[in-house]
Amino acid sequence: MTLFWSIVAWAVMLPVLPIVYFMQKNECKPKKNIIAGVTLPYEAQRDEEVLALLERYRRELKRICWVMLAAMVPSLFFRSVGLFMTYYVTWAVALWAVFAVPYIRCNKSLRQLKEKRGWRRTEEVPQVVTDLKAAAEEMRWLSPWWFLPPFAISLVPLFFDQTIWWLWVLDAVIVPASYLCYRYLYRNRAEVVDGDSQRTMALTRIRRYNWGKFWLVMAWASGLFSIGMWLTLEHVWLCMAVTLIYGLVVCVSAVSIEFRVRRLQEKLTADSGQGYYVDDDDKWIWGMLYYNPNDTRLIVNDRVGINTTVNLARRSGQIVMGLVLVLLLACPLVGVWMMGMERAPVELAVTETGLVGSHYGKEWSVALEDIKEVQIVEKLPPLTRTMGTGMSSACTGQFSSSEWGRVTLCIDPRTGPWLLVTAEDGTLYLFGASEEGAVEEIAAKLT
Amino acid sequence: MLLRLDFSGDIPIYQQIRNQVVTAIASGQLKPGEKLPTVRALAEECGINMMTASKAYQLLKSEGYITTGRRDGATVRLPAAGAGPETLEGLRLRICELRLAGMGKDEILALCEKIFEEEALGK
Repeated sequence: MTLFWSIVAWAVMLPVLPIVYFMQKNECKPKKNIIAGVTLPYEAQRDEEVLALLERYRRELKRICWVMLAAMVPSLFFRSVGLFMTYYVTWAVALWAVFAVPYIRCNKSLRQLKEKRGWRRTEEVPQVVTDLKAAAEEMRWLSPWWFLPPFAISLVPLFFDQTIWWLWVLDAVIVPASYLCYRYLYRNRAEVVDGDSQRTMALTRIRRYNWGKFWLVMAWASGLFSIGMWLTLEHVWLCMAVTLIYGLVVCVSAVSIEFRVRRLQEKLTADSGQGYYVDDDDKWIWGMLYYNPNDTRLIVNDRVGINTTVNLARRSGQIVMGLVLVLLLACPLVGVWMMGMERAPVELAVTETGLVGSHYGKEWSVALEDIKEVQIVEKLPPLTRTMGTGMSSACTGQFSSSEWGRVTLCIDPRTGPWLLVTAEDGTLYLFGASEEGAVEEIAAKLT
Repeated sequence: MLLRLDFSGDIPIYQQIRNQVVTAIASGQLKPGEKLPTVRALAEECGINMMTASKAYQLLKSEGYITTGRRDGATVRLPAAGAGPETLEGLRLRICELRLAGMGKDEILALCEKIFEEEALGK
């Protein structure tokens, strides 16, 4: 991995830091009478002690931001992709955990202050509050027809290119998956803040509208990405640009929609909390984890923004959260696995039945009777990875190039020459080996 | 109108829903012809079982406080004038309880008047 690629990877991955920082910082602004996961009445939101606690929270966030930025610097000098990935993923997982610490501290302090100052009279707080007028307003779900055109678009490449059909199917699956997420990951519940039904209805509509908007953007972006990939597959830089644009569109729309909803929630509830207001704090651990044994539903909406979460009082909720945690903690293992891949040599052998290239326990083979032509390649043309591994020490899987078209690779790009094998059905294979001279030896055997 | 359900109390949830809807109709917070959420929406809102929401609506319907349609959900209506036998029996029981608690006729009437005024003001 060269310094140039390290900088590119840095530029792509580093935005996670400001996004998390600004999202956490945004928790200081009262939305729906909630500050850092604690519900406070109008006058308390402007109380000096509360403001001092929030100032401390902001300072801690800023400190963490600089520390995490400094922690990312060493990765610029890693030459191993596997090491970079291990470090980066560990950093990204740690980022969420580290930012959660001041949030929880602030949440606890605010709760204590709330009790001390009598801002919460527990005996008056009912367990579940529902606005019947707002609840009577039916949710108009987006028609599945809105998701059909991007689905059709994403399937277009499949009609023209069946050789890598699985890639197009994989892309196309994102569109119906977006619809299913839109339809079933949302808890259709009114956003009750106080006794003002008009406010509740406005807040509910804002969340519903933006929830639909995000999944629709996701579906259309995925559909167009599929077409973009198909058109640029044989041009390395264009293909990378298309992938980058797709990632940017999805990330930017997710972040901008989240912040827009938060801004509107803040604006609409700016004068709330002066009379009766809803206080759900007893159902939220640290203001962030929902635990309500009286709620039969698994999925609930987050308190602010458009996101959803699970009810930890339900067994299924605990399983989902447990799986997410395990997956998060297992993420750095991907980097470790990549380091193993980097170190493993690419091997080439002729067996009784065929020519077999292998790398890190995986094999690519051509039967001897299927080999039509064998050619030694001294210089590699530009290759675009379609599906597989593309490292400085090993390139395996499906690739394409403007010179050869589709080709299956199992090579070590550092040690040439390589063996271009044409099968009877026209399929191209490019084999190589990490050991010097191994390819020439195999080529002599085959000819 | 805000529905406040207490899951830790002794009163069943469907009864709490019924009582609060009746109180809201009496105080004018819910007006005749006003739409109520469907059984599914109510269950989703409160995080309760559909059966519980359905039971509350069935009770309200049988007492004449709402009408239900297959598609439109529930609509508020004013019940027929005069108290039904169940209401009268309930009132009788409450008066007996207050008498046993040591209250006299004047005290009970004054209390009724106070509650009536509060309800009329929608408190």
